[in-house]
Amino acid sequence: MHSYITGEAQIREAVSLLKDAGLDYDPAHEVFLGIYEDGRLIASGARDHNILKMVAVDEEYQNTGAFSEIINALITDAFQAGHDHLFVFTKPMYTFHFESLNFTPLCTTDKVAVLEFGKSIKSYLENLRNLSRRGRNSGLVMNCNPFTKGHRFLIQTAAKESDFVYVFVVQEDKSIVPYQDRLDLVRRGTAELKNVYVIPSGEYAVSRITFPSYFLKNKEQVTKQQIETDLRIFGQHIAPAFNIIKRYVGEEPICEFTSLYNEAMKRLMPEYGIKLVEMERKTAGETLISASTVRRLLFDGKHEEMKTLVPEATYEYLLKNKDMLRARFDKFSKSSK
Amino acid sequence: MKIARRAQAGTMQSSDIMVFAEPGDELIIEIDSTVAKQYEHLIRAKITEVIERMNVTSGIFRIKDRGALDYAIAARVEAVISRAQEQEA
Repeated sequence: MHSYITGEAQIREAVSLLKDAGLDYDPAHEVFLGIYEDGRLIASGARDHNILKMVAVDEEYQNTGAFSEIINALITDAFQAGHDHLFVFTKPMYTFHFESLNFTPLCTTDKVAVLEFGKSIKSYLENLRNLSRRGRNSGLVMNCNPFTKGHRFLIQTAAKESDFVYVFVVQEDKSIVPYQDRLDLVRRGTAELKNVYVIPSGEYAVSRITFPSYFLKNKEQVTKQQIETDLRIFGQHIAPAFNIIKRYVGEEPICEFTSLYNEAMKRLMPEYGIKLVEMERKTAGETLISASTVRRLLFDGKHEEMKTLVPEATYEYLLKNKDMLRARFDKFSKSSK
Repeated sequence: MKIARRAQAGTMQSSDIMVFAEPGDELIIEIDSTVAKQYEHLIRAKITEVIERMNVTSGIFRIKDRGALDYAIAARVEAVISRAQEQEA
């Protein structure tokens, strides 16, 4: 039977088990379960939201049912907490063990393998199949926090230069402008472009799963590994489903972090036959258009200046919802400290 | 009869099967199995038989099988359907 791993001594024992398996202890988790035999910890596993981690089994017990028992306990516990779509990050050499418990590989780099359980990217793409078009198509992944004239210019250019364009709006609701509103503003701002489809990114592009550090303020936690995972999922699964052969991005002169992402794209996208089109940032007068500038102008009350950077619909939305956005801004800046 | 709420039955132990059910507009059965190549059609037939017997007409069933035998499949599917009908506590 499994039990919770709590208390200093038990955690110390778990850290040593993890170390033997070549894993690090990660304090970010909601539950940490262990299986004990004669008072000794023989298997462990933890869950943070819908991510499983720190799954390790004592070497002596590798071929017993300990592994499936710990996974079983984690899945059952996760389901009760309301998660039926789970992910696990593990070493590529352990992929096979998870596959034998019906986990599906999502992406593998030389250091990390990501597998999912419950739902799958196959069914996410299957549900979008009626939007799949033949042609020389392009894709963009955008947060649009909020949708600016810069975003619109990028999409317009892609629309001119491609048969069809797929805009994946980051679904993770961790930005100041709520997800549904971001999606809605992109849809309204591109409504006149008939060959553009605006699609929620699901958990598969720039999500808490594929790219957790995008949502953290701490840049040191940005790992190349995460960027690579995110991009490989796009290249391997998403792009082929929509015949995407080009990916458009805006040049990133300001944010170091996004520029790291763009650099990785240049390197990785060609592996999947995708050409990266990096476009110069659009300016309004002297100002480079960026969503962060728009947010700053909004909160500083410089509405006239802000108006030149965003489409009409975004402008009206921002003025109308300023208080709500301010409250979300305060909430997020508090929680990230 | 429809699947009214999310439910789960079974375990991930070898020779068992884990079944998830959730509400849906049509009847969908998704099967992942370590023995899918040889037995997927038989697993599906068994599950369909139980679902029909219990008069379920719509819902999504996600199946994670680890080589369960017929009676185990039937018992798990029956359990998940019963749980999916129970009132929320």
